[in-house]
Amino acid sequence: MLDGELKFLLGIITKNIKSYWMWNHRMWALSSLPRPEWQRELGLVAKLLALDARNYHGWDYRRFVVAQLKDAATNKHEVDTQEFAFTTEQINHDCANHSAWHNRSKLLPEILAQRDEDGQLEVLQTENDLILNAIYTDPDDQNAWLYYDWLLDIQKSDEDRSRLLRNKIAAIRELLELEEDSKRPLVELVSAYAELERLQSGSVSEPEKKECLETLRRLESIDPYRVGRYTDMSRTLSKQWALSA
Amino acid sequence: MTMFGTNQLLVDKHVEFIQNLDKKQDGLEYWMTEHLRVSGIYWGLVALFLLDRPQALDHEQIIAYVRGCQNADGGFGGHTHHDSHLLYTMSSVQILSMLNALDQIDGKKVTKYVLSLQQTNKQTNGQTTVCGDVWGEHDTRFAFIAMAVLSFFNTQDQLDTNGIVEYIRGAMNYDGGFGSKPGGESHAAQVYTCVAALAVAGRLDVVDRDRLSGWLAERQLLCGGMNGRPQKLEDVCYAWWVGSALDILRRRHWISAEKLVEFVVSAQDENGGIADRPGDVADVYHTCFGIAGLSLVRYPGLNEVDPVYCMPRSVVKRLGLHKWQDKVPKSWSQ
Repeated sequence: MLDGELKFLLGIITKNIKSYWMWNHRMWALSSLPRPEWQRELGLVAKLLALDARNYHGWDYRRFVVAQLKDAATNKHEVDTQEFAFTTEQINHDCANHSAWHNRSKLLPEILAQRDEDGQLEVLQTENDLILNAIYTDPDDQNAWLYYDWLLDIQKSDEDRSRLLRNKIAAIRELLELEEDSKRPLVELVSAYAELERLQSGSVSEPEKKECLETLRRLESIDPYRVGRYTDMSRTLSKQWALSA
Repeated sequence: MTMFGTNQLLVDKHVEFIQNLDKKQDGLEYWMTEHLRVSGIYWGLVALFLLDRPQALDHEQIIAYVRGCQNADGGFGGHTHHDSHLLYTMSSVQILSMLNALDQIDGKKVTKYVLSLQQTNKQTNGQTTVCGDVWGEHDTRFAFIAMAVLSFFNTQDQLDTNGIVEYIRGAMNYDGGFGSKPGGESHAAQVYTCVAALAVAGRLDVVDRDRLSGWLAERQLLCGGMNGRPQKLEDVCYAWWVGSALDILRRRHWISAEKLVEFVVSAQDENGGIADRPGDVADVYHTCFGIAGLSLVRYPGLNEVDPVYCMPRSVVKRLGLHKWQDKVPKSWSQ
């Protein structure tokens, strides 16, 4: 009877791909089987995600299926590695697939935990290259910058963080040479310097600090809807850096 | 192109639209939405209260209907003889409190129902989940509803608040946003439920305020409308989901109120009601959240809405629920 239920659900989920309760019902139906075919289910949800790569119900469901597979697996690392590879595939297909990046952010800590120190450095370097590629492909994609900032968060030392921030600033400078009024790189420039100074007081020069405040003023015209944010940032940084606004 | 003068909210037309909702019983949509009728009434009522036309619907009739939706387990279904669910329990409690009839139901029974959905014996990483109903779906929306509903009856201490806060923390992502459950992708509606839940719990310290405010501010698109996550289409309802979260974070000024108003106003139907975007068909859900969104940016003539409870501030104050404001981190006030 449950097999019939699953066939029925597959039909209606495909037509109602955003229905919370249909996905939940399928979850219940599968979990009620004595020997659910989770691997087959993974293949099915991959097909559904091919129809709509940003469907978060589908991704939530995929995470649920992967968790079941991991539970039953003798080699749990292998499950994480395969899933990580799936996100790489999705990203290579479309580096603007935020859902894939998001899923990757949940898997990366598991992948890192599997490696020794050298292995971890290697993984993080690959990750850095991958995200920089996404940033260069579309400098306006806010998600890529957010992922970069998160990579900074998971670095082991402030030294590593500062090094990556300097890399970020260098990348931004290159992008601004191509287009000097590019909003996102300009916002990221200011936040990178702010973070650098926060990590190590005195590491940002006076001219660089002045440049940040000037950039925020320019952003008020470039991105007027968010003028409130830029004036707040100006006020905060002026106070922190004891500069006049 | 807009059909309306700038900032022209068609108040009378919207009131009429809401009043006529129950008269369309010959339409298929009326029956297709039966399972969430109670929420439909809540959406209509909030809109009327914010438009300052609270008497436009029959209060006694609504109270009797909503009471009829309560089941033996203490929860409320979406319609009479429908199974209980937290979503409709929340809408029911909100309706009765707006109509000053909360004392007509037994708060202990509702509390018992909500507590029955809390999964205290399935904790992982110290997280306590709350299910929407007996079928086991858990979601940060339900965590919020559990805390909000019990706060109406002052029984929230019976919840495992710490465990629920850990569940919500687990749903936080690298972009500062929140998903439907730990592991879930950030989405503006879930951001609202998580931030509102943390506000009720007095635990806004969990939020990465700057990162999240930045993410929320980027929801506003060139047309003035908001989307729910990057690369998605603008939709009137995000005027509420994004606006309320920004309000709680004390960062309402990080978006353009003027442009948002222009967008919501242009999504009105000239015959009444507001649609998800200009040119589409109006519905009561978008009418509610469009008006609530306008209230948040202080559109003239509207009553103020509470950003946590999505009810008039006056009602929230009457119930003593406005005290969540005292627990907002002091450093957040400018």
